Amino acid sequence: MLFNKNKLEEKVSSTLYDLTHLEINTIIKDEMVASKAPASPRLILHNLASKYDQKLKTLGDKYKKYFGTPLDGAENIFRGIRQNSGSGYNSFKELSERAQAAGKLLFDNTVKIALTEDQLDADIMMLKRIETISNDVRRILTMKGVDPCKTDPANKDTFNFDDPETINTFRFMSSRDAEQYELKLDLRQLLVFKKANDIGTERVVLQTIIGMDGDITTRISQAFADKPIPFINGMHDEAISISVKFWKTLIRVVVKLGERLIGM
Amino acid sequence: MNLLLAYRSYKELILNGEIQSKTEGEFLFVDIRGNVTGDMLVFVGPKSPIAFTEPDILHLISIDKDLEMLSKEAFESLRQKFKGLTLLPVVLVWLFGIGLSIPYVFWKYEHICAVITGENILTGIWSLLPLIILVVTSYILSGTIGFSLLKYVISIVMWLFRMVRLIRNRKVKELQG
Repeated sequence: MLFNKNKLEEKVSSTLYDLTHLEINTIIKDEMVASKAPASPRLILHNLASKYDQKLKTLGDKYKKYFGTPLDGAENIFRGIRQNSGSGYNSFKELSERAQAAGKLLFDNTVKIALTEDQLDADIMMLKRIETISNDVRRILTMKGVDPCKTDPANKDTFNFDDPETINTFRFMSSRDAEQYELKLDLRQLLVFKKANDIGTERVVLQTIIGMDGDITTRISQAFADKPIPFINGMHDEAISISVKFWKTLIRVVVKLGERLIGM
Repeated sequence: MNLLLAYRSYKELILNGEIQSKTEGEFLFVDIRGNVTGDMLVFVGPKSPIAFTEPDILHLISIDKDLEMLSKEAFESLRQKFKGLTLLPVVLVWLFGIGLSIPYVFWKYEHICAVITGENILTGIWSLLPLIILVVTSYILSGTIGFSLLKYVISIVMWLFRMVRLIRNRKVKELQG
């Protein structure tokens, strides 16, 4: 068959979603990260997995006093025993499952925890983010043609990216050698990884999603809503204005192309 | 100037997958990133590598005097980069048009001179007609055609980048023995 129908449908619908929706996030970071994000999708995923791993541990330490030491002998109540510490499919599956379990634990024990509802909600939302994005990553990794190591029986065993040693080997390869193990992503999939890595585990204080159908949703973190800062609001507005202006140009081009295609 | 801006924007987009504008105030930095679909991320954080709590950062925002003015400049820079993204397709069509026109002008040189000197104006105008059509088409359809052309240009540029990288790596490997 010339093309895969499901893949084409998914591409069309995701492109349509991208063209019909805009997302603007304003994030307050608590520290500066000096290193630049890597260009390799494999290394971007590894960065992301490390951030999620670290966040699960930090949150686990924070709530340790309410739940005690884990019974299974793990060091951390949320992270549990690490079976996969790389950034392959199984590593993200593990992260997703741990985040889901941790979120459920917090949700079921809200009465037991001596924190305000907002603080607890923020942490539950963070765990939800780890779960959702990890599942998105897994979904992309299972797509046909994305992971060359998955389909090639020779590479499947020797290049297991759930093993951190493989990442280290990959990191020091020349571009030519690394290319054969690199993920083959389209632009949209790469943007999903980059955005997930950029946002990481930072707190989003303002988020605006604009749909072409006219729906505009703005989410504001409770802490920021209680004490809004005009400067941050101003920056968010400015970002929306640039984004919408660029979007208009994009839409105009798409409409023009459409007109040309149907011969108007 | 505008062409340079467009070139820089596309180079950044191809190399990093996004375009970025950054500024630093007295205590804080503002980092704005936009991707090709228009989605944006705005980061505000402390300049120093020490971790701060959110209330501390909010306090720093209120005392960082330069940040507001500098962030406006950063937004302006990003706005220009986005403008550059929409400019290149238009420029490409014009360059393509000029590329086609030059051999034509050489070919019909005598007829074009005839229009300028005032001899045989009718034949001269008839000869100039394809050039006029090219200019009008470029003016009206530059945006649309440009984006279609751009796809191929970007593919060629990315292929060239890959080739350069491969050649460079081979040299390093050979040097290492």
